[in-house]
Order: sequence, then structure tokens, then C-alpha cells
Amino acid sequence: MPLVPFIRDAAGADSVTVDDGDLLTGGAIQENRALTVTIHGGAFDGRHELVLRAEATTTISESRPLAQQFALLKAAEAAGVTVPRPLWHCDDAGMAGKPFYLMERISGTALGNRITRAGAQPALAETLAKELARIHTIRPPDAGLEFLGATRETPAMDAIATYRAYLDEMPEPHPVLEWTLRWLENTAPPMGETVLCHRDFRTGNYMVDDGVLTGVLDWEFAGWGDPHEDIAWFCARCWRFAGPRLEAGGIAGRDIFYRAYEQASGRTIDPKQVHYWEAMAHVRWAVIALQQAMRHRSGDEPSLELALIGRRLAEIEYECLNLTGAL
Amino acid sequence: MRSRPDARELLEISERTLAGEVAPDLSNRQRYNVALITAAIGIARRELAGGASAWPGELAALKDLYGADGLESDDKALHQLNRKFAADLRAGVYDAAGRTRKAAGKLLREDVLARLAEDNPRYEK
Repeated sequence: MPLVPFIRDAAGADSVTVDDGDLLTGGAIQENRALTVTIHGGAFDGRHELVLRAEATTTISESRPLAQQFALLKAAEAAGVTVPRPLWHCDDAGMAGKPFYLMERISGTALGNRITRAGAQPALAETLAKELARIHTIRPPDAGLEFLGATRETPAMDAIATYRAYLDEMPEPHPVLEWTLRWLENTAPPMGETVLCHRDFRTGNYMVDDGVLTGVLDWEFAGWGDPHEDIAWFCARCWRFAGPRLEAGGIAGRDIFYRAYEQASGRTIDPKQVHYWEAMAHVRWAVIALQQAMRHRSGDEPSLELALIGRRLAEIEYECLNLTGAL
Repeated sequence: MRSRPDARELLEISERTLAGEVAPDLSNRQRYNVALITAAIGIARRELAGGASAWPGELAALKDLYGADGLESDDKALHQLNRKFAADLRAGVYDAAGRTRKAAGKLLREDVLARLAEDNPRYEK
């Protein structure tokens, strides 16, 4: 397979064998494939359990290209964030059918329902809060992350403009989302601190093995933003899975997560701003859900899973009305 | 307006998934049952092609806000009026407290609650 010479060159090895494994679950947007790679010679000599991540056939507009995801993973690793170690990126589509990068495979599960069914896990919530504080130590300018666009107005007003533009591409009007976006516009906070936001830091996007964090995943949406945005995304009702009453990711009370984040970051969390960004979080998830449903509806990628994401809209919009005081 | 994909589209893809992916792995007897299920889904799908609103009061509420002049068939009217409603919400037409803002809020609320009851009746509010 053409992957072999690529890895051999990248790893500076004498020879390489690759055993193709299973398609891993949980990649509605990206395609993740498990590989076992045996490397002889060079700095990487030995057996490696890896993940090959490639772009799915169609993608959604917010998702960053693979080369940028790889750079973000590198920056996170350098900042001390627990991530699957990024190894090599390949832009040549001829190599494995499409561009990809390779990273180390970490153990455990990322499944939100499985993780939250274990009930309250305060230690895990504290660990995640510290990880988030570490992510937020990355600030502009950062050599290697020049591709991240600068804030135009404020992170909130930029997001409102982006989501309105996405809604304008949809075939149907969405009054509840327009209502919520108007509320967000009328109550937008002034410019705050700018940090690297992961923008998908939530239960379902980190791996846990035996209750212990093994890595923060899915860096494809990261960008400069307000730290409250990530905190709100983590706590939003839509990402609590089987633990709706445990407001920090379905695994702990908010106070535990907030306290650990504040201690690690030295910042004070403003609960009003978190509330604001939680309304934004639901608009964002709604827009992503609409885009995912369009992948199915357009005929590009017929899939029951993608189709059903479109019918999550009612519950997301319910939370929008709830957060904007319209219920 | 309902969320999309709509019932007809969901039944269609369920039918395809059953026939294309589930059935080949089944015994002959179960394959027969799946054929029955897909046939039943097909019937339900066609039957459901009717109604357009989750909340039956949606069209009347929109007409209350905008009047009924220049509207086409009910299905098209729903789309037309919702488009106007969405644009007006964005433009701030409903910002000021008062009767119309209340009416807009009620419309949004009833619509979401009715869709939620269809799409995820066990959702913990």
C-alpha cells in the first residue's frame, strides 16, 4: 500500500509494515481509521497503534482543513494539553485516496452516553477544567497558527454574522434561531480576552479510560475567541447526554468545573457571560445540525445518522427559547 | 415549519437502510419480515405526506401577524410567512415589548413544543 513509503520516509525508517484496521466510530464529520504500524529502524523503531484521520466525503463549513488541524494538535501538545500525539501529515491525495494525518491511538471511550452513565465524576471534571485552562494559555500571535483568522468585531458579533450567513444558505427559514440571534445581538458583551478556543471541548470529544482522561480530541473547529465560549460549550444542555442534571458536561456540577478552571487559569468566570455563550452554543449546534442534515438531504451522503441529526433541531431550539427567556 | 429531513425523507432512508444494510445479514425468515416492515414504512410515508405543521395553529398565528393577502396554497403560505417572520425577527421588528412581541413569542413556543413532542417526546425539560 502507498502508505508504507510515506511512513518509511517520514519516520526515517528502514522498513515499515501496515495492518489496516477498523473504521473507528464517532466520526460524523471526519473519517478515522485504526492502523497498526511496525517500524524497523530510525527514531520510531517499534510497533505503533495509530489513527489515520482523513476528511470525510463532504464536510461542513466550519471544519478546518486537515493541515490546520494537525498544526493545532501540535500547538496543543506543545502547550501541555493531553492529546493523541500528532505524528505526520500528508497533503498528497495520491497516497491514501485523500489527504490525511497520523496520530497515536489513545485508549478508552469517547462515547458521551457511556461516559455520562457512570454518574458524577468530579475528578474527571477538574482534570478537564485544567486542560481547558492549558488550551487557553495559547494566545495570539502564535507562530504556527497564523492561519487562524483575526477577530473582526468581537467574537460574539463575528459568530452572529457567521451563523446568519449559514442560515441564509439553508432552504428553509428558522424563526427560533433568528429570534435567538437577535437576542444575542442585543445583549452582546464587549470585547474580552482573546485565547485559543477549542470550540468543540465537550463530553463526547475526549477519551476516558477507566475514569481517567487519555486525550482531548477533535480540534477541527479551534480558533481565537473568548474563554467563556469554551466553558459554555462544555456546560451546554445539549452536551450532557445521560446526565442532564450534572451541568458540567453531564459529569459534575458547574461549581466543581468552574472552581478548577479558575484556579488553574487565574481568571474569574462571569456566569452571565457563560449564560450568553450557552445561548450561542445552541445556535451553533443548531446550525451544525442543519448542515449535517443537508449532507443527507442533498443526496451526497445518504445516512440515517445524518438524517436524524436534523430532527434534533426541536430540542436545541427548545433550549434556545429557554435561555432567551421565551418559554 | 417542521425540522428537516421530514417524516417522508426519514421513512425513505430507514427503508433503504433496512433493505440495503440490515436485510442482507439476516436469515431468509427475518428478511421476509424486513420486507414487510419496509412495505409498511412505505405506506406510512405516503400517508404522512399530508400535514405541514407540527403545531396546528401555526398558519393561523402567522396570518394573525401578517394577514392573508397574496398567499398561495397553505404549504407555500407557511414557507412564505415563516420567511417573512424570520427576516423580521432578524431586523428587530419584534424587539419592542407589546402585543406583537407576545404573539411572536407564543408562536415560537407552540411550534417548538409541538415539534419536540413529535421528534423527542422523552426529552427532559
